[in-house]
Amino acid sequence: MSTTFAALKERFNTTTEFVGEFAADLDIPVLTGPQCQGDVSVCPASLYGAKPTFGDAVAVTGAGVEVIRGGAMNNAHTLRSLDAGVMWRPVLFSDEGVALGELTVPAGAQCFLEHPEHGFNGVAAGTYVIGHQREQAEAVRMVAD
Amino acid sequence: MPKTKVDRLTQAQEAQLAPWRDMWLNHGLSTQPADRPRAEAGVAKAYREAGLEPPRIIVWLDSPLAGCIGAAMLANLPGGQVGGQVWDQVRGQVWGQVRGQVRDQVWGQVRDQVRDQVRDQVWGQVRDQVRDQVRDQVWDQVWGQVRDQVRGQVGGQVWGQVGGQVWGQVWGQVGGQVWGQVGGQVGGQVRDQVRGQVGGQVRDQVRDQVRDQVSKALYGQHEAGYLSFYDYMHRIVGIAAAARLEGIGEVAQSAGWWWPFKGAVILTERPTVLHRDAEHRLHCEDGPALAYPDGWPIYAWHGTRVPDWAVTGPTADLIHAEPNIEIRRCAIERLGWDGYIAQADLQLSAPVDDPGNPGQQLRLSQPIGIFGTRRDELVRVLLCTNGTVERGGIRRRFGLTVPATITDPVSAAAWSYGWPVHTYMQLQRRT
Repeated sequence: MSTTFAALKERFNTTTEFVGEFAADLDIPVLTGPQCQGDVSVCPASLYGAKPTFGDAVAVTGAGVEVIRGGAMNNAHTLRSLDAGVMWRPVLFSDEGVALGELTVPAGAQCFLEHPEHGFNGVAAGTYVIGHQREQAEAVRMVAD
Repeated sequence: MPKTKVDRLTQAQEAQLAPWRDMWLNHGLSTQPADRPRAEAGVAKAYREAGLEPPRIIVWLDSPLAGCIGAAMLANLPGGQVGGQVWDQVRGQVWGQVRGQVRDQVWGQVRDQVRDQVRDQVWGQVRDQVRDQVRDQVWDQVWGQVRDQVRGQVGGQVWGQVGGQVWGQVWGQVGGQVWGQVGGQVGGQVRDQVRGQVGGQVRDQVRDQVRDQVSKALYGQHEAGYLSFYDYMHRIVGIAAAARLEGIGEVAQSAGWWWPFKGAVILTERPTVLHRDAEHRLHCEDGPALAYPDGWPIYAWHGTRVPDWAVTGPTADLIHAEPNIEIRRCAIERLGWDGYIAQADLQLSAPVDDPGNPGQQLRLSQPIGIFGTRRDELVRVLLCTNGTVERGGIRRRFGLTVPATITDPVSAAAWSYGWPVHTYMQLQRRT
């Protein structure tokens, strides 16, 4: 399953100003496996390892749900879907401290994670933990995008 | 007869919230030369409001640091003498003991400016009065009364709606930094550079006198936060009591920090340079983030005050010599991990392919004590190298640090995402 950058731009009709160079026919695969978008990760729940706790669900629509907003450049990673039943539950607590939330994509549906610098990552049916990247300084801190 | 409390804003009043905020933000962040006549008129108004005669001696200096020095000079002059003799004595006793290139220049400059401006004015008539600093009367008392009166007339919701619009950006991000820098730097510089035969007691006294002046100032444009609030209450909501802050408000719209004395006032200029990042924090990659007309600078990296080298010329050696970890991290960000690794001559592991990332390779450095030298504080740098070569034959490298207990690059990458290694090895796509 895949689509193209141009098709997604048109499908969601977003006002996002993409900073990277993305060819109109750039292939955007819709995947069930682990993916990364810069310092944000998408991991099938069964492969994640840890078991964070999550809060109340919100529906993911074409208008978009922000997963996290970047540091210096103030750009956001945003979930979008035009299919019914795609849900996002923000994290309440996680042992390792990197989980941002849980994404559920029902059978037959697709969800896309969008970012001005990275384009789109396509997520197929399944349950995923979306997380952030950390580094070790004098204490563990989140990587600034 | 107390007015009825204002419990909600009218639509017309609400429409003025944004314009008022923007106007005051403009003043708070202004880098225009001070409007001296307007500032002096504001000072006179503020003094009269406090029941004081407006000062006859007005001294203009070029930065908050110069202002602190000038105010300390005025505040600590020995009494009963006139003109040049006073300055010579002061210079001989205390200021002359201050050595060091930068110190000499700054002290000398300020001393000359204060002496020249004061001598031209009616020093003889007011010399005995000057030394009394009247911040308490001009500010503390007036503001306290105004605050109580306004609070009595405005409901909590309106108070909250109007408050806070300007405060965060002007004081939080800029004014507070200046305050911190002047206080911290004055202490540090005077302490470090007084040498020779000056006893510790005299040196500490000079340092303390100048540093004390930080808290005796009124902060001019940097007070735009709460002044915007009271200005709005006065002009838009019509609370007459708030008008008492008009004089102080006018100084804030025209000048920088200032020090009220009985019979004299020291006013200072606004900065000439102010750079911030997208989140409104002081930040500049190639020079001072804030600078005043006399050259006094603040260097900052995304809101952290740093020494000048961290921005203009970070090197691995300077980074290693820096005791403050925050500053070290800013300097490394500025230099870049690949630059740091090259300079520090660190060993890197052999490159391995980055899973799910065709054309990119991972390398892991030897352990380093950049954030602490205890065994449990050691880190390694994970370098991700682009597969594609850019112009000039350079491959861009990105780095982040991981615990030193991790010994291979793929495990390090997995750790950074909080994933098990076998999960990371199955990475399907990276953008």
